[in-house]
Amino acid sequence: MTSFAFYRKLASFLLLIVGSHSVMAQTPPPAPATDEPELVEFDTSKTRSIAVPALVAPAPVDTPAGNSAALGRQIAEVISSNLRASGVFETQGPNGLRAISLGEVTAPQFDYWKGRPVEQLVQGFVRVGGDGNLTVGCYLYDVGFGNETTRLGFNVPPREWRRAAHKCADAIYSRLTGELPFFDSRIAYIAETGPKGKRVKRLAIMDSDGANHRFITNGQSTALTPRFSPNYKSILYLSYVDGNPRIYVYDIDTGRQRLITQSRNPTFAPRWSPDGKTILYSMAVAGNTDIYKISASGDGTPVKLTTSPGIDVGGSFSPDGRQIVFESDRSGSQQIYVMNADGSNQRRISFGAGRYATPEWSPRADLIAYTRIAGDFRVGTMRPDGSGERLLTDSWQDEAPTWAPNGRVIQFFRTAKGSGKTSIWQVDLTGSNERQLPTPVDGSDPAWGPVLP
Amino acid sequence: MKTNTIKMAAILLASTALVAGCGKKKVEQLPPAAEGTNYGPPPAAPIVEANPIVPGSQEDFLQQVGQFGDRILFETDRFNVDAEDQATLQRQAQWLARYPNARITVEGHADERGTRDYNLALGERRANAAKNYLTSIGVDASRIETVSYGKERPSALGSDEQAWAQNRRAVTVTIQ
Amino acid sequence: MAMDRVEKVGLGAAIGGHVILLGAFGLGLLASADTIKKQESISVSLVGEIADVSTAPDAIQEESAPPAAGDTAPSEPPPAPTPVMQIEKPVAKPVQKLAKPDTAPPLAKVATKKEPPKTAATPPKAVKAAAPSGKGTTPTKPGGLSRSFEDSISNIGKAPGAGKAVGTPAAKTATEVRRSVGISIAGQIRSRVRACAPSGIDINKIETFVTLSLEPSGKLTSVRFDKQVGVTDSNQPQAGPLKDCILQAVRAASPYDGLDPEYYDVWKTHALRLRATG
Repeated sequence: MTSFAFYRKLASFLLLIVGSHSVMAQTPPPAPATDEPELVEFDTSKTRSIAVPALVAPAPVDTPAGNSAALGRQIAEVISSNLRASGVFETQGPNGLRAISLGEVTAPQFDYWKGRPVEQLVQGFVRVGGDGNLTVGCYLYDVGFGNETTRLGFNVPPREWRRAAHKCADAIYSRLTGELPFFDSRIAYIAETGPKGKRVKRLAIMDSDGANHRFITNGQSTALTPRFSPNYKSILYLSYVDGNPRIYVYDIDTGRQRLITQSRNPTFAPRWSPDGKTILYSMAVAGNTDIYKISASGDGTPVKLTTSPGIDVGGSFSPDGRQIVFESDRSGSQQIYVMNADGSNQRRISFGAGRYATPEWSPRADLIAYTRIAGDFRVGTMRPDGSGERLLTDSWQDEAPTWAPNGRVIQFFRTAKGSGKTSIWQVDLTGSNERQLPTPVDGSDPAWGPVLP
Repeated sequence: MKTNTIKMAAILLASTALVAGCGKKKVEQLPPAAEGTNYGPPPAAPIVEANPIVPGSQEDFLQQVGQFGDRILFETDRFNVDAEDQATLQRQAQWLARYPNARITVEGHADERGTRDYNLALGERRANAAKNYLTSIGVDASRIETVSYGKERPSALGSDEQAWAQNRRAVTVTIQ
Repeated sequence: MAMDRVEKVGLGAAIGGHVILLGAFGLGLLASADTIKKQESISVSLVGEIADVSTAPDAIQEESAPPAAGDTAPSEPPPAPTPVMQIEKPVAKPVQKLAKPDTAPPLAKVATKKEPPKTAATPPKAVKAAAPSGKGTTPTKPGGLSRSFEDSISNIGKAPGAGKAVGTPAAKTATEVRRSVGISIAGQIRSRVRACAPSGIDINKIETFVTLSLEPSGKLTSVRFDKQVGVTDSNQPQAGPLKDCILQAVRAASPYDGLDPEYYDVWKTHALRLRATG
């Protein structure tokens, strides 16, 4: 080896050694080692405590909806009920809580609330403006950290005080859970009365908490499976008013309705597309049922989406409107299929034990809810590829799940064995907080509209 | 046999109506009693029905086809017309042949142990299966309507196999 | 093993270089940071980030402590010569688009989280906090530079595991220290995270990684959000609130008890990985 090469090699050798030691010369030592830190686990299953004292009415005034001081308490009650009903919170108040002064609304006494104890605090006020409208302000505080989380305010006519309460509750719920809101919305369903062999079924609507209930049809002819349009202006539903199952679009303001198709064939299972421009429906021709879509405006010709000799029925759009999930018995029993919105690429996604029916795509796009029939009827969810099946309920006959607008709560109806009495129920996605939604009489076919703007 | 009864009933009805519509007639002179005639034993008293059945009516149909002759039953999720169903439908077809102006609706039903939309589709399948068979044995399709009630109109009200079996049915009803 | 000439020369040079280097260290000739007046002494051994194997250096390196951050709000960057720390400002959660039912504008939305004005830990508290380190030795006292030096000297030769043995076969490896510090910090954070963590579908799939920067007193100077893994379509809504909750909980738990200042170099930055159960 030449001398030059030798010295060069030596130099690089030394450089390597010196370089590797240069680390020592630094003060302080460099960043921590790069192996993954040990896992810290924590529990999230408990509910969060939240106090909702009555909203303060600084200058109580009578309104068409009652005195504003009473409204302050009622608004707090609605907020509290909503949060408690969601299953995520354990609420205190407004009953049993002391009155809040106006000054406290923006300067809470954290120590007092800490002592209750309670983790979150809602305070607010109700003012009546010169125009007679209410201004409702609500503030959310984190008692543990002693700071304000969010605040918001609304201007509403007195008779719409409930909407202000729902909006406040939605903001609080959203902020603390990360979920989208859902309290400020309406539900359409079928109200049922009468003996099992002669049920009277009427179309009805109500707020998400059951308030502001209204019957739409009089029950002389059977009404079934209603759906609110995304803009809340109309309701799609099935009626036997002319002796046959026909689908109507009912205009809520005018009270008038029109057929979605003039076809004499029986039609059922009507659904809206997420943008409200398209209607899906099922129609039986010579005994064979397929799924069609038609423009919601009533113009245009129907497009037939399925052609199998089996029963293809129902259908629910994905939130982006590109796909439709539906049920078909083409394989020999009811199963769940997905297809593109033009009817192409139809593929089965349910392969579990049992029959699968009534699929509904979550507004969050992440899951599909369905009824699984295997002896009993149970409500479950699966991912759009059919994986991750989870059953959420366990009763004799729970069916027809539909989604709250935030994709977190599922609503369905339960039939009692024997009596056939029906009732509307809700359950959280996690399977917890199964609860009945109170209705004036029996109820079935519940469908949830979007959050009101 | 049935035709005779109907004819008899019709005659009786007509004559009763006539008599009812008449006022009292003056009897002029009774004819002289025949002597030595033998008319034989007196005829049996005629059967006067309280509510005589109109031929071609729904009651007539029900009576003609016999108990449960107006319906065929199905297995769970099935809509096939088996031999027993065929016999039932044949009797219906015979009645329809007798009353060429009669029209019917076949109502399709399903039991409560199914989901609502699918059961509407299934009821329609069953109604159509009955209709198809009827047309295949000569009934004109234009005389047959179909309608599905899904699970909305149970006839048996229990929540057991027996009730469900009765509810999975296609029922023929005359259109009046 | 035969070495060729190159290797022999190189080895000799390397050994010689080591002697020179270490001698220079001992004489403090290569100290590159300014020695800033310390409020409390920190003995730091060369055990630390270099190796998990304890070494017995012939001399003690007096490290300068990072300058005390004083009473600044935790979100301000510490003026330390430490490796790059990202500044963690309280992030306003993007407010959900809730349109109002009528025309009136909403009240001013203040969607920030103010830092809890926790008072900074005073040195006596920190010193007290340093006590329960499980070794049963006397806590370090402020201004005890020489004292710790004496301690270190006096501990030389003691069996491993006895007292704060720095400079001897170390009683604890860096891994052990990190683990016990981890347990200590986790315990103080856990209950606070539980109080604000959202629940949801597949919430137990999200792992949140944060890195704490701590003062010798156990006070948090800043916390940095590193990443979240395991976010799916179903738990995505909870990812943001969970991150906010963890950051808030980390800040609220400051100052942290039970962190042995003896091993400050090990835990001055502490990485955490958190996940919900169930």
